[in-house]
Amino acid sequence: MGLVNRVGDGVLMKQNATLPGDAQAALVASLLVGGGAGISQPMRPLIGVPLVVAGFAMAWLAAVRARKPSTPRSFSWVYFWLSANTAIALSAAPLYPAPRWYNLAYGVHPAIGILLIGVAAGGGVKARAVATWMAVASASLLLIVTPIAIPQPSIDVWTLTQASVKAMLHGIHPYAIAAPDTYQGAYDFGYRTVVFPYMPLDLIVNAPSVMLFGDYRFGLAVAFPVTVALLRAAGRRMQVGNQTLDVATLALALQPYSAFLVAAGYIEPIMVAALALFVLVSAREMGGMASAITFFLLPALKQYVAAPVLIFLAMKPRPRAVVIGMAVAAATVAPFLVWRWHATLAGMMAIVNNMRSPGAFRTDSLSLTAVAALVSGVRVGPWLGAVAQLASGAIAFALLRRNGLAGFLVASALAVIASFLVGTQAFANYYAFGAALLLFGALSMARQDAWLQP
Amino acid sequence: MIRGIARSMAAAAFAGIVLFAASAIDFFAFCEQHRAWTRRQSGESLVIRSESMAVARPGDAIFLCTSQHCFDGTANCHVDLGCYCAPAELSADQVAGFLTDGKCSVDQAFPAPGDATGSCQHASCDGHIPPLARP
Repeated sequence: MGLVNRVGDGVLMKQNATLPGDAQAALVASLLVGGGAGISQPMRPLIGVPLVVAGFAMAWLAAVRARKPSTPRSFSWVYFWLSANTAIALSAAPLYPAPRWYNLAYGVHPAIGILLIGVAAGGGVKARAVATWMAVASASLLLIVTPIAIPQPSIDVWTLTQASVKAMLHGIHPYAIAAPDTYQGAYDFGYRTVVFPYMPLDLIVNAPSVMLFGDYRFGLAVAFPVTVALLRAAGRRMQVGNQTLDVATLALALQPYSAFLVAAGYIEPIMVAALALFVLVSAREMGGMASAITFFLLPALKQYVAAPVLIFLAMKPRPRAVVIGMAVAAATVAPFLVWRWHATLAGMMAIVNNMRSPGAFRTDSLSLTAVAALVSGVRVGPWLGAVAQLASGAIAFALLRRNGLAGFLVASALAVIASFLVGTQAFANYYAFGAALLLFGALSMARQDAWLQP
Repeated sequence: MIRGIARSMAAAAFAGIVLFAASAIDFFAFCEQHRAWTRRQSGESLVIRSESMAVARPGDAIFLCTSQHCFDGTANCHVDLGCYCAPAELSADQVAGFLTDGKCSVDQAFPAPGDATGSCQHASCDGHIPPLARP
């Protein structure tokens, strides 16, 4: 673990590997948010919410640390929370009925992860690299077999997306079809979602997997190794130290919720891959053409990416790049609008409209507002989440506006996580994106920290 | 490296203990169905459930059931009282068969969102029989 490092006066001394204090706080924040997201009912109010709140507080600490000259910190807490997250994963079982071999694999992956974290923490450079790639291989394998083990999850996200992508491939407008109620009337959320309620780009990116394999979730599984490749390329471009890069890779590979996201068919794995691409190109030029184009893919994938758009614009990207980025995002929507504008708009606005329904409050959410509702019976309206995203984003931007890409990523994380914590509904998939913003924020804060590590 | 692995296992074990403790707190202090049973025993309230995300499907009846609920792998058990949505053609005994030491009776033969009488109101229930995955 020791390294030989040249200090200012030319004397060689031995010291432990460290990373910048702001990057350490952001990395721990990402792991706390990820750990909280991995907790399922009925433990969300007792463990899940406190972990996410602690992660949110750590993210603010990262923002405060980023304003001061960097103080090197050890990796101890990062490894601790990595191990804790794998214990959370180990305590969970698949939420949908699955064959025995898959249930076994679901437990073996985090169990091996605990050993691999130990090897990475205590071994040399080579051992750490081997442990990291073994964790990536194990996660990739688990994710790719998930749609095979759980061919028909009982969740509306999967039914709606699968039906709409298939309709689109058959030349039927994907927002004009009504998917059957997968719950057959067994659940009342205070609203009914019968049409595809997400963005058109989701349909476009999921189409190849449906064409090739019959199920779009294979694309979500493949998004993981793609994200790892992009993260490592971004890290190398930013001259991030090997240990920071390996630890960030382990954090991605050992997320306690990743198999659940693929099983349920949430789009966030694709969003995280898009985010990784944005970080890779922005590492060269934040706010340039490639940066703007890749950034605007995020709001084109999911409606909750609102404040990050304002933060991105406030960071003064090149105006021409913004126009082209917005045009590319608009191009993913335009064909559907031309095809049938009313149905497309109704679908894209379905979630916003559903949230206006008085009964549309999920007490099983991973949020402070859900805990408040359980304790006091008071249910907040959807406005609080929107206000929190804007307010938290504005304060975080004021703190981090001079920190470039890292500042943008951490401010965006603070904005979206604030809105999830006080919104009417928030689940593991939402926080997966928040945790990823923090992870990439940590990577960007660790830019050129290679001198701190072997 | 051995020290690293030992530390990682210790951290995971610590997290496991915290999760186990939280699970115990949830079981002993916050189990909603046991609290419903306690309320019923003390004569505090006859209403077991008046709102829920889980609701009766077309053709379901709602059964009021007591069952034994044990803390993960231990002999620490308590009695739960809950509302279960199940196909109306099932008998109370058949529904009870899905629960541990279950005893059931029909609470709503034809549940409707407007129900304001009985123990299981507004067509809401704690879960379905046969059990469904939660959304």
